[in-house]
Amino acid sequence: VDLSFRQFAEGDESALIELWNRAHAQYVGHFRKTVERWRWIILQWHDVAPSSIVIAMLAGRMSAYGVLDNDGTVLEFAVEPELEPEQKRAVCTALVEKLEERGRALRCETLSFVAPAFDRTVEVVLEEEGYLAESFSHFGPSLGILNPALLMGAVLAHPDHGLPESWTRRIVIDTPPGGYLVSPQSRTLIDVDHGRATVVDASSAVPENVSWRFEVDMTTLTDLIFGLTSLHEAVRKGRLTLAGGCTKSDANTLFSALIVKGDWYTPPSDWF
Amino acid sequence: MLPPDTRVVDYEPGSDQEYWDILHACFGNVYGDLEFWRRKQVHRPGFDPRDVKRVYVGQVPAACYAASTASLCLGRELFVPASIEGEVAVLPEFRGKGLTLLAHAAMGEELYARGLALRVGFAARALHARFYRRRFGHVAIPTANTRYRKKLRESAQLAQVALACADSFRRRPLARRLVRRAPLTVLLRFQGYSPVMVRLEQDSARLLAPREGVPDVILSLANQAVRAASGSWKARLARFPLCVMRGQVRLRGMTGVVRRLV
Repeated sequence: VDLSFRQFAEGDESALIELWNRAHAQYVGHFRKTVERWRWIILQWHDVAPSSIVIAMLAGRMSAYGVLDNDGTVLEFAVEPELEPEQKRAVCTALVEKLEERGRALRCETLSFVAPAFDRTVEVVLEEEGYLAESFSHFGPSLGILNPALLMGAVLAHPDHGLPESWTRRIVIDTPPGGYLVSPQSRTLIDVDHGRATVVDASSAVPENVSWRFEVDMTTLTDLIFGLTSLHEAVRKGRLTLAGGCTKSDANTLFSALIVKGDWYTPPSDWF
Repeated sequence: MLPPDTRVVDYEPGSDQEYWDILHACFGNVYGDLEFWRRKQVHRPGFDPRDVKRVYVGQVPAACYAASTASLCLGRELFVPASIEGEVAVLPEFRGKGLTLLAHAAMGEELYARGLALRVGFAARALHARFYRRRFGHVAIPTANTRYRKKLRESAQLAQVALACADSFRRRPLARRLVRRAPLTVLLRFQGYSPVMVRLEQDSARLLAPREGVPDVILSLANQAVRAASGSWKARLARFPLCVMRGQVRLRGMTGVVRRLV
């Protein structure tokens, strides 16, 4: 295997970000990486030296990289997903060993990775290298909706979240705060024209010609959008009410389109 | 509930030390030193003085709260503007008076006006249940995050201990039979440490470099199995089958060992 390693050099940022995005394309829950943001997090905030950003070059191509902070936490770790399994494993093993070398040079007590649980190659390599895998379910993102109209508009405009083309109707969702301390919007209007949705804040308006009307508190709406409760459960507990001739099946179609799908993975570089 | 004369104040140049003192008084060095904090907050591209807030009770800076903004990925090419909030700290004598709620509400109004859709914070689940869910109504998102850790500094000591044990084992009659015709290479994998490879020969035991030899036997010990190995021999004997059944002790290459013995 024609594998070599080099340290970070000015101008590598875009390629590293593209590699990270390709390696983690199946995950949600991370923040968009821009060159400016990456440079701030890695080079300025965490003060990572270029020699602690180890880049693996396979046959002259950037195929993996790891960023080690000064305390022994691997802030980012990405391996080219297009590599053959055996190649990926070899690259991954060699990169882990390089990061360990760097960790020893920095006199770190431990080296710690936070990787997605479903990345089998990384898991196998780290276990073979003697790493102790720990559940990390005790720490994670807590999330609240600030602007339901903006969120629902962005989600429904995405091709993976479309509504049926046969739908042309006006839907109102009344959103009392529930457990929310801050809830600037109390009503959202979803105007659907042949499946294309336009979502606006209607807190101070009284929408007319409404086809369906829902009432759901903000806490339950958050649970629904992020897949932590089902529509059936919300209706059963009386936390979501339907009006205007909307059937449960219609409601199910709407809220299924609103659900954010995918496994959440947030690298340590995104923690605040 | 709020003490009289409580107000929320945005960042102003020169207030860094005051802010950091609150953080330091509540969490020690968890948030790093003042310089680290400055790099994180004040030197952030696009830093807005409204991102960093202190809550004053009278003339006393009693609490702090911070946020930054970024686009959160919610699917393939689906990004929404979100805040990342944290550094929630209240001096002990001012806790339970609603200062955090005040700062959270003030921050929420501003973030909404700045066009953000979501608020995200990173918290321990226990804190989430007690605070983020109960007070703010937020949800805890289950993640695919798994942490892998390994001790770097103790690995060399562990190798020496493994070598001493191997040398002691080599002197036993069973071990003598095992290595009578050929050396035996054993790879020891203690979870949380670098693997150690030991070669047993008739008159010595020595450490091998990671890829110096092909192991005849691989012994993998999970952390729980190492812990179970303490106590009286009866207790250890009782725990051993349990560890094997749970996969905490794994032994590969036993066929070769049996062949050597017979």
